[in-house]
Amino acid sequence: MKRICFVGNSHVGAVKQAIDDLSDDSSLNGFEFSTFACQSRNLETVQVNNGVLSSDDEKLKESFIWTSGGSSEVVISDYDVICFLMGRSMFDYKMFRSGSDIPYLSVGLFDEIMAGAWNSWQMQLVENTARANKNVQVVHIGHPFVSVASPKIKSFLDSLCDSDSGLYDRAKSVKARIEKKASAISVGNLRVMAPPPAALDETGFFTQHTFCQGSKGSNRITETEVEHSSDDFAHMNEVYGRMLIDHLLAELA
Amino acid sequence: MKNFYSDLEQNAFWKSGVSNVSPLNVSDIYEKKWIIRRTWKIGTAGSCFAQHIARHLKKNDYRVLDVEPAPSGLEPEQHETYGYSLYSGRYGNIYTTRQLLQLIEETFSDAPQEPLIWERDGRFFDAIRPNIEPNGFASRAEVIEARAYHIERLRELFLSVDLFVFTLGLTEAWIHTSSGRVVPLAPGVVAGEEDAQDYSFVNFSYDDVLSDFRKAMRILKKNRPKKIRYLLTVSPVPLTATASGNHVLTASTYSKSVLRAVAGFLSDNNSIIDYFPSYEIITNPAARGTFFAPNLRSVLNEGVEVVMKTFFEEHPPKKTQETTELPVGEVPSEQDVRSKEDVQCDEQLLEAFGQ
Repeated sequence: MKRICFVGNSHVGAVKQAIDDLSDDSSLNGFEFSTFACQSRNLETVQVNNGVLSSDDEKLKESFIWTSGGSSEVVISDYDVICFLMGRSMFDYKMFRSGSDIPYLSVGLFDEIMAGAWNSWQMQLVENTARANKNVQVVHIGHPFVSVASPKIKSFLDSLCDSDSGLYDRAKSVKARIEKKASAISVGNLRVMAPPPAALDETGFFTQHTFCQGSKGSNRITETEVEHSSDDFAHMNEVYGRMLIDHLLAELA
Repeated sequence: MKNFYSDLEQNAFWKSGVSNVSPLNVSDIYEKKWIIRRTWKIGTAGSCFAQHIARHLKKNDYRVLDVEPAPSGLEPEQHETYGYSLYSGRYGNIYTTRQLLQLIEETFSDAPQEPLIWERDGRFFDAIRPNIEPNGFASRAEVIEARAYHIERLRELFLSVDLFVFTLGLTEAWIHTSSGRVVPLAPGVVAGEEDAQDYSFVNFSYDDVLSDFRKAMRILKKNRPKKIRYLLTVSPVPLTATASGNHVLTASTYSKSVLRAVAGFLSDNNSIIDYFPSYEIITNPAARGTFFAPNLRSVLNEGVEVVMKTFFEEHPPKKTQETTELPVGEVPSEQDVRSKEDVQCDEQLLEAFGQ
């Protein structure tokens, strides 16, 4: 039985809903899934100590207990794969965006931005987790790309589709460079992985809106599922969650 | 007995206008020519002192354009290192009107010249803006591509601004002899030591400075359908060093005198040009040099505050505009609130050589 653990913030919700729907699905019988989720600001308190992801933050502990079904910490060796769903995806073009453009980026500037992303708190946690146990595959997928229907990306999308703007070529170049960099970073038991390609729109920069519709979060007070509001273009639904699981397993196979 | 001076305002006399007035409050030193409208798009450029003006305009919700904002993933403390968030474009300091003219010519040229490229330790630098990549570009091709993108963005800037704020800084420059282009720093300061023989020193005259600015204005007028106004200031920051062969004090006085005379002439003779006396405020004898740092060059925050207070008394801060997504080229002023007044001044590099 392969043991897969998802650790992250609200974006773990999509995966959790997909896992809950697996009871009639025999295709994933050889896998056991766990989830540990908390709000990002509390996740920042998590440290790796003696092979365990833990925190002194009471809110974090409560959230982990609630979302995992009983554990306030993640024992790394309990799992074969730990997948982090928190923080910006290393494949997210947004960090290279300025306004509704991706400017020309020198190699030096590109590397500076990637270094900044790599030095973020979440990637440090990912690295430390991988270092703590070489027998466990540690993966960072991060947040989904925002929905293509988000009004905030409209002007960027319009420019992207404008063949005279030059943006499409610059964006493609950035994508290729990101993939090369991610490949270089993914060494040993550490992998940075892009979101599931089948969920992306034709530009490859956004998630298809169908995977955003009907997304749900969890209300810890009432212990019920709550639909995200219609202007939430960041959270994805259980179909996306299932796609992510399949993508992760396929990449690690 | 009455005479011509009998009915003049108090500020027409040195005693009541300067020596008996606090240098912290010289509000009657400036009277605006026109109101800067809330809808006006403002471009900023000039010598390092202009960075203060740009920053304060943004902080006070003026609609200052930045057509090359930093990528969102670049840490804020790295913005200025990479030439971002200083002005309305990623052109670095523009010290002379010749540099400004040349930039505008390049922006509207159908066949711009190939970039001037310097080399240092296997890295390549855009000689016209040598400080925008701290470690230089990886190749000549990168310099060329980066510059092409930069000029494309500047076209957007110069076509859309309603008001262009320019701080005149220097009359001294270095010219690439064969192409006639000026660069902001002498070759060898940042890079290009091996190209030094291709450059010669120039100290622009009053006629040069005036003529260059007028040419720049004509090109903009020719290429844009709408009116543009200019707000000129003269940087009070003295020269770090002079290549004129004269004492740096006389060389600096010459430069500032020429620039001040040109700015004054342009303002007096053009309804679309206003002059704002930041130079006079900082160098006011009543301040007894207290607006300068111990190096007697850098302007202290206290001095900048007086300059901007005087400015905003005539051009009050604008209320924040409510938008969900700003148009291309506009950066919300909240992004630019920084506690330190750290100004990128290329000339500080010269100081290191002068030790």
